[in-house]
Amino acid sequence: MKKVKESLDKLTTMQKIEVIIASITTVFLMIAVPVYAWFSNTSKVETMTKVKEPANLDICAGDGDSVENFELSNIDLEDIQKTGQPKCYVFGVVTGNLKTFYDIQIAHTTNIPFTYTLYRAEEATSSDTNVVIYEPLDGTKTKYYKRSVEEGKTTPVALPLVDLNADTSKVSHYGRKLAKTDDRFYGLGYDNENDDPEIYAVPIYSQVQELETYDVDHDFYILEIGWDQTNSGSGFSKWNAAKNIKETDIIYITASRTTE
Amino acid sequence: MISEVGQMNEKNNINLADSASDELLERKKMQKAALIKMGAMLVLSAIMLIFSSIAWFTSNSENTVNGMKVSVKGPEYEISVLTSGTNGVYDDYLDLVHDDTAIVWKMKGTDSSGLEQNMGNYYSIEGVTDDGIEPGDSGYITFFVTPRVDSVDLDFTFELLGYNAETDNNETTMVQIDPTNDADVINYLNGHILLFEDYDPDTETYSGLIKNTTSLSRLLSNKTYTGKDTPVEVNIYWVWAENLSDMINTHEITVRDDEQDKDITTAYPFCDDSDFATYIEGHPQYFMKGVTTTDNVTISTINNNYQYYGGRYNLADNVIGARVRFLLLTMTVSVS
Repeated sequence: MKKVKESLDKLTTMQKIEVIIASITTVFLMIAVPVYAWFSNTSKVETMTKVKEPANLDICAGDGDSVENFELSNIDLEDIQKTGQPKCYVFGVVTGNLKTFYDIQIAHTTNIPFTYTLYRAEEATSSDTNVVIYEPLDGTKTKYYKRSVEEGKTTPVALPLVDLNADTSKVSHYGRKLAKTDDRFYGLGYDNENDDPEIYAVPIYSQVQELETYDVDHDFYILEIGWDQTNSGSGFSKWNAAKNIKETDIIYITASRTTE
Repeated sequence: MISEVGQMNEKNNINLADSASDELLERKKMQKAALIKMGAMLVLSAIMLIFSSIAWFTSNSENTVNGMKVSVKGPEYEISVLTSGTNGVYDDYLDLVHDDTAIVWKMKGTDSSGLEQNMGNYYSIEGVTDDGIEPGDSGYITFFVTPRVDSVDLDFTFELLGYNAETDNNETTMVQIDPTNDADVINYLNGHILLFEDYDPDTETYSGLIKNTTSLSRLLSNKTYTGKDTPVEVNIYWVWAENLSDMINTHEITVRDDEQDKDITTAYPFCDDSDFATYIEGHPQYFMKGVTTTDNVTISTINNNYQYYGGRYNLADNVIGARVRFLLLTMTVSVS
């Protein structure tokens, strides 16, 4: 303290004034900076809320019945080829309580050279023409559905079901489209070194994108499973001949929300 | 004689020298005293400043007016929030991103006019909570402005920030949506969750849209508050319209006219701001997915092809619902 006094005494008046000014400035800044920062930042109020998760999409059978009533077995191939009429099935997508957009994917193996076509559907009566009949497994009711005619159209138009991974280059050889075995979809599903799936077992992924909810209770669809008559007449005679032999295809129908 | 004169001069000189050194000493003493005084004053003022700051800090947690909590203030105003009510259901998530200098808005349940005084986050009865917001929801949140001068002009900046909660090793972190990769979502929040200055529950009409200044902030500027020390209640109304048509078309309200003994139906707009339609037309990217200003969409264009544009609005709702789970609403107040 003495030393400080002595050194202060040694200072000229001018130097003393400078020391005082410097001290005042330092103290002022030390106090002013944090206080000012607080002044400029704190007039703030916050709250946090949650965005409700959109309801899960659900797939149902006709009339909104449980999906187990959506039954695809026992397709009479010979009848399809003979009549030229596809086999039709009704299913629905439930989007919860709000309108939304979703994609429908039909992933199927290619054992049987089926064709798949999808239409929007609506309830009909037995007197309507070209109806698809839905009956649940227990056979307790009968519901009728018809293909919807979009606004501005006069006839039903099939939805754009796009194959994401179809190899069309060998249609004349195999009598059907097969899934590619060298693309990213194949890479996602199979390990090139260890897996060697049978070519008809690799699924084709077909999608319709950005379908809008028309009815929050159920959007109904008619799935037509047909036979490619063009291929059967194109010189390929073995695999696309319609025979009711025990062949199996696996068909996955999924619906997911459109987010991109 | 000469020598006497000489002696006297010498004596006088010595006396002069003595008095000069005394004067110097005296002056030094005075300077020292002045220095000590100044130092003491300085220390005193520093202490006063520190104490006044501390007093100011502590005053923030004091209750000064019934039903309000003094929380944040500038020298010319105080912003208070309700003391009744709760921090909100998602308080734990708020804690993860909370700005320590900010206060937490208090949420209440349904008011006497049937409006929700919260943002889908009011914790009401134990075990019964609101669980967030979705299209079709609306409500309001309340704060109080108390001018500390006769009149003050204030700016209110609102930000609605999207977050997602990520849990790793039982530790939850809040990840803010990315301004670059999620720029579309940020846009949709601006057009889908709207903030208004006023709402008339009788006509179900909003007014005073709080518009965006940047993609992240909305500004309510130059609001004048008068009446020194008199709290003014301010409500901010938020709405997430279920359909685009709700905003661009009128809605009908039927009331019973007892004098005429019949029901009278009147059409009212969603928002009676004269520039509300222009705002939608000028910012289609806030409302509809995949529609930009270059599309030059007008309200008439939308109505003429509503299936498409209404669908684009719903699609944007879908994107918000899929990519954002939490919303942080902040309001920052400053003098205009």
